[in-house]
Amino acid sequence: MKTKIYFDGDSVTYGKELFDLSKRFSALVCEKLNAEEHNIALNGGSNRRVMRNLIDNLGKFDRYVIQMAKRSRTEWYDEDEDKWQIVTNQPVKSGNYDFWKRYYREIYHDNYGITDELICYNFIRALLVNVPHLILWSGDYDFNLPADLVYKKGSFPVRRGHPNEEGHQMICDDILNIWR
Amino acid sequence: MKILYNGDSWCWGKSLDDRDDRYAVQLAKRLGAEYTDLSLHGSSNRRIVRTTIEHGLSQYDLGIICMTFKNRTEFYMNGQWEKVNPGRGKGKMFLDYYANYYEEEYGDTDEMIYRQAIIDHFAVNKTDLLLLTVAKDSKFDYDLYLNTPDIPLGETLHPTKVGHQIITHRIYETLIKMDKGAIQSVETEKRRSLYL
Repeated sequence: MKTKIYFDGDSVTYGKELFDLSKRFSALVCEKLNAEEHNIALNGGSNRRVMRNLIDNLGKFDRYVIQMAKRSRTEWYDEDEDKWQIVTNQPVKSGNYDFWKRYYREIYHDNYGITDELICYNFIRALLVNVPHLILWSGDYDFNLPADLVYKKGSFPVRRGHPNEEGHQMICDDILNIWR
Repeated sequence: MKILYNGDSWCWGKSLDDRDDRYAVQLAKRLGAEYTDLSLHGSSNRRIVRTTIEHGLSQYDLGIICMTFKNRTEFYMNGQWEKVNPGRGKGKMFLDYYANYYEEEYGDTDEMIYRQAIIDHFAVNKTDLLLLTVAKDSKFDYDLYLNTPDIPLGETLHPTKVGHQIITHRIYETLIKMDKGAIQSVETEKRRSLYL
């Protein structure tokens, strides 16, 4: 039976801006390991979404690769649409636009984001304590948690803001190097 | 033995004339244990998890953590952590949050995330945990539900001195049953037995 690998995160893990999603790092890793790819990353995804998904998917996969998202993001449950809506600091697509605009202007503080990130990091490590897993992070602010792979802006070649094919190959190689 | 407590007003001893009558103090006395109490009235599950992680567990043998209502949270505003719950400001603060953001589904997943975070945080730090809740309508399993009809409450709907005595006894009995050595008994088999 093929090894099943779970991937979650935001647009980096989703493979945004790639013309061909089979070139994203999750697909490349699985191709190399002859494993089954299960990538549920979402453009604009939040750490809260990552935690919510992880609880639901615990015990179903052999390995887990979790990319932590930007700490300012969250999500809300849209009862009218009966679905989770992403919330980024450009809340155009979030619905409830006025509320979220005010949220980022008056309520959200980076101390909130930093502790959210801390809670999420500890949550992932603790939940996956005896399961092969990797935590990676990519972003443009200071990130001080001991993730396995940290990509600050400029760490990999990008197409606009997201890793291009070469960037995804780099991430893939880094993951394989750790797992070797 | 050293115990770490965390929770909301029930753990903090709100409305008691003497906060030393709260169950956290009474239980520690009964067990001859030292304790640290991180609880605060109005706390949310987010604050409970945040402060527990920030405080660390290395010096503790047992955690007694009492989770709270799922509709609470906190924000960092004006240089301090602001407790967000429907009762703040006589129900007039954070109306926008509850009108535009909060939904039951959100509260349920928040409770699921923070409950799991506490369970696993204690497990990986190899520290025993007794997990309590004051929520009446939780969908999740806890070692002990404190908010039962037989606990006498005062005007502010917090346990009276006698209420705290009953809770102390219940926690004590539960600890005896758990033999104090067992890792968190409420964890569901299907989720965790593979890993812990």
